[in-house]
Amino acid sequence: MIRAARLGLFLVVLVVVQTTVMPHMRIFDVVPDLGLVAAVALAVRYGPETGAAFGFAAGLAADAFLQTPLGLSAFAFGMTAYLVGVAQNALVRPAWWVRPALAAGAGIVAGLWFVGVGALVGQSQLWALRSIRTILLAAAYDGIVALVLFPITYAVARVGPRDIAGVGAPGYGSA
Amino acid sequence: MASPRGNRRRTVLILLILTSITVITLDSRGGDSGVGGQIRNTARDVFAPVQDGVDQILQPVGDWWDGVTKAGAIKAENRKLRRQLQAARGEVATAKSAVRDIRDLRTLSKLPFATDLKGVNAEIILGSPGNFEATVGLNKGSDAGIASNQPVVSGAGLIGRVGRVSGQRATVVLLTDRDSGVVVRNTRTNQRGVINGHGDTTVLTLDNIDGDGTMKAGDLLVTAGTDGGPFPPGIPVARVTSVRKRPGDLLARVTVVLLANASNTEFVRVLVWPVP
Repeated sequence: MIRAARLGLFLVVLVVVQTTVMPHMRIFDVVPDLGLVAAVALAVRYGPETGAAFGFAAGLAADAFLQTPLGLSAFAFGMTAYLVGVAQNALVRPAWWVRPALAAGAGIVAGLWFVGVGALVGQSQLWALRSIRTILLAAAYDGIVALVLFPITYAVARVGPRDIAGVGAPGYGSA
Repeated sequence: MASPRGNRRRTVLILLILTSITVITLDSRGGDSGVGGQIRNTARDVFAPVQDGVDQILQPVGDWWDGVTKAGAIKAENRKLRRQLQAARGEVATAKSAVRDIRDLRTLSKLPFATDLKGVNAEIILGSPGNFEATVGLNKGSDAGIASNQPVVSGAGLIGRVGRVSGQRATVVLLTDRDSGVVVRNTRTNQRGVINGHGDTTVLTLDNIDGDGTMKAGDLLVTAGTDGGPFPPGIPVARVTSVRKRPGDLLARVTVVLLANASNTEFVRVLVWPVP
């Protein structure tokens, strides 16, 4: 199966898990954003373009099940993955804690994008002090989930002999 | 001179921003009938059968997780519920008798209004997949007659209102959601106030209280049913748990607890309101 199809199927699985499993797995009333964590994983290894594209698609899929405007999560996830992809060039030797830390940091950035842009487009209820608590808790959950989801994402996104070459510049860990 | 890779990245960034703004604008302006709404509804209906299957398979896992994370609270709640059950059984017997009496009396006096609204029974099958809203998903949608903004109740009282609806799914925006608010009336003093959602808790405050009188702990709050309002009058919403007024305060701080809690509710009724 070519890589794009694998990633598409992976996205569908993430959406199903996010909407059916994760609501049962709430901790402190927050859930992790699986699409965001996967997008960050792709951005770290394959660069900002791949991360942004997957993040946008994952966010758009998540938006379909939320009350907030379509495109809000897509923007937050895509922009965050893009920034992570740009910033990952500075990482030379990744320690074991880098993946969860990156995912948690991305969770905070994406949460701020979501709340900030959401407030700008009329979702004023998001602009509350309580949102900070939600963002931090969800980011911590993202970091924990990253320990499992990063390897899975890399296994799905690996470039096989049948895949078309030129998927973007590899980052650390792909050598 | 900029490198081709740098140009490509800038192009991706600009595309990302422009596409996001376009989608958000289209969805905000078009609502559920716009392109964004149609995409959303299609996606929800396409995933509906998969969600049903996975949810049924994973229900035991979810129950186990709840048991692990809430064991202490569940034991305490169990003891409390047993005590309440004994009291409730007596109340139910009394209430059944009262309902029969009320129906008989209504028939006899032929009142010009009816409190029994038509509705659609539905099952709560999904929790909220996001972090910034308090919602639940129902197993029925517009195909069953459910429409946006209709009130949703459980046996205990008002749960919330219908948010987005697709053919086979409806999302209920709970009273605890930060975007929720309901005007209520104290059944004892007739004072009105507003209960606004604050997130995950069912313990809320009563704001904008008007009228004379003094609220007391234990007072029952029902929907006020304002003209053209989103909720019919008389639906139980909450009970006052405490009233505190410090010296110098203009208004008392009234804390209430919602009567209906979606987390321990399985079936709800979506009311047809306003009556067509």
